[in-house]
Amino acid sequence: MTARVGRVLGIAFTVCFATGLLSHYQYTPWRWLPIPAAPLWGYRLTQGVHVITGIACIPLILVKLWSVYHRLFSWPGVRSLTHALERLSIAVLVSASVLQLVTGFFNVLQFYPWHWDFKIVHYWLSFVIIGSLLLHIAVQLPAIREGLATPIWKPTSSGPVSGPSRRGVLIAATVGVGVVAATTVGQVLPPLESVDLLAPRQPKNGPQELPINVTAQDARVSTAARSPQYRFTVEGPRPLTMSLAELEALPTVETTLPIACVEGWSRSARWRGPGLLDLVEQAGGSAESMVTVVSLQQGGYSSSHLTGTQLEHAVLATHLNGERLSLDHGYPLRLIAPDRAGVLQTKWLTRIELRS
Amino acid sequence: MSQHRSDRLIRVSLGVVGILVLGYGVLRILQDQRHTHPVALGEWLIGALIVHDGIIAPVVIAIGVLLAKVVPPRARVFVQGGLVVGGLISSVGVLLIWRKGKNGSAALTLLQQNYRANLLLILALVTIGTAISYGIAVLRSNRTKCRLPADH
Repeated sequence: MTARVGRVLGIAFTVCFATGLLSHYQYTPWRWLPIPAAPLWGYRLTQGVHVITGIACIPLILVKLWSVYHRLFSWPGVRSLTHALERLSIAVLVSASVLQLVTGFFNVLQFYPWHWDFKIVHYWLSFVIIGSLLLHIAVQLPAIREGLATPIWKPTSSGPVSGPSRRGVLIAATVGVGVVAATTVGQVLPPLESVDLLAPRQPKNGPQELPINVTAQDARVSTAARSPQYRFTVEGPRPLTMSLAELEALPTVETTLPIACVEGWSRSARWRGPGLLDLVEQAGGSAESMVTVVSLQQGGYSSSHLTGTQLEHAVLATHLNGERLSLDHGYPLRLIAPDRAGVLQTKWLTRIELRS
Repeated sequence: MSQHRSDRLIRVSLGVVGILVLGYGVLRILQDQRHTHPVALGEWLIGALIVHDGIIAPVVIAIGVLLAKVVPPRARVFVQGGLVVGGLISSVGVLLIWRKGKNGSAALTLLQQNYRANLLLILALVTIGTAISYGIAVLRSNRTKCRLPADH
């Protein structure tokens, strides 16, 4: 049973690691390999999978640890130096995995009872986990082979004493983990919204039918965003400066794109506003330019960069789902581009900078 | 190449790659102390082990031992199954209930559900499901018992 649960957990960890690396790449892409604009739901899928798989791993790891708990008390505790190192590597794997899953879930709930930078620790701890997981598989490979080859209904001598049958626990674990996944996935998968009983977010209930993660008040932009002195500038070979009225008079395009948050919720919405590339070209730039969009917000995710196909498909939205963009959604102007992490869809835009 | 030798090659390669990746992660955490606070992180890592191995696991084992004493064997399988399902779902559910009062934000549409009621509903369904499967098992075995003499 340990081998079977371990196999599922190993696959789940690998999925979380791969999707996590993709998410990290969203924040720091190499200039020569920009994030592509297609598929436009790419980040929605990978980050949804990352968070839902991570949440489902919480019950999964409890089953896995329960199935090997008796080995904690195996005697003699340490047989040799190799054995001691092996046990140490398991302690690292277990503690790092438990901490990663719990703190990852806390991040989804926006709860940070620690002093370190969540994003950086979550990233480096994932290397610790994957490394110690590979080491664990290397050490246990013969036992894993034997475990997987043993039919599940056959009793083994190595299982926990007087516990339930291996088959029973596997069925119960599958149901438990399945229910957790099914009742949380509604926050990324609209068809399952009706059973999202344990989903931290309900994206459909947001203002203008879309959730927000930072309010105008939190970002301290409420006054600046509504100021009559608001100006929008494009800094390039032919700089542009516009008032709000001039900005709103520009030709617009319409597009349907999702906001996909790193915290694992997402929702598609209709957007309208001037195309970013049109403005870039007016200011003397081109589709080859490196574009930085800058917010009125100070600190936090106050700017982001676009190049390549994302730049070509990006819209500076003034309207959301048929209404003027609300203050919390980034009034007067926000970025929306395909296959892009939500925090990089910069809100309350005031300036665009071009580099060739 | 024999099965034994190729197995050894796989294991050694996995182990070496594993140690390198693990070491790289640890090194980067130690290098970036300003963001990672390695001492506090270390305390949390040890804390995670203590909370699981010292509290959660022993409580689960104790419940198992208690069940073995008070519930007859046939029913026990189903009680255990129901408790495992319910316990696993609750592992996520209680965190949501706990944080709802503190982190819930209507503006962010974060933690806006009544998770207590939702978890109770799910646990009620699990209980009903467990009772039904126990009932079916009892009925089946009774039928088999009745048929036994005729089979001989």
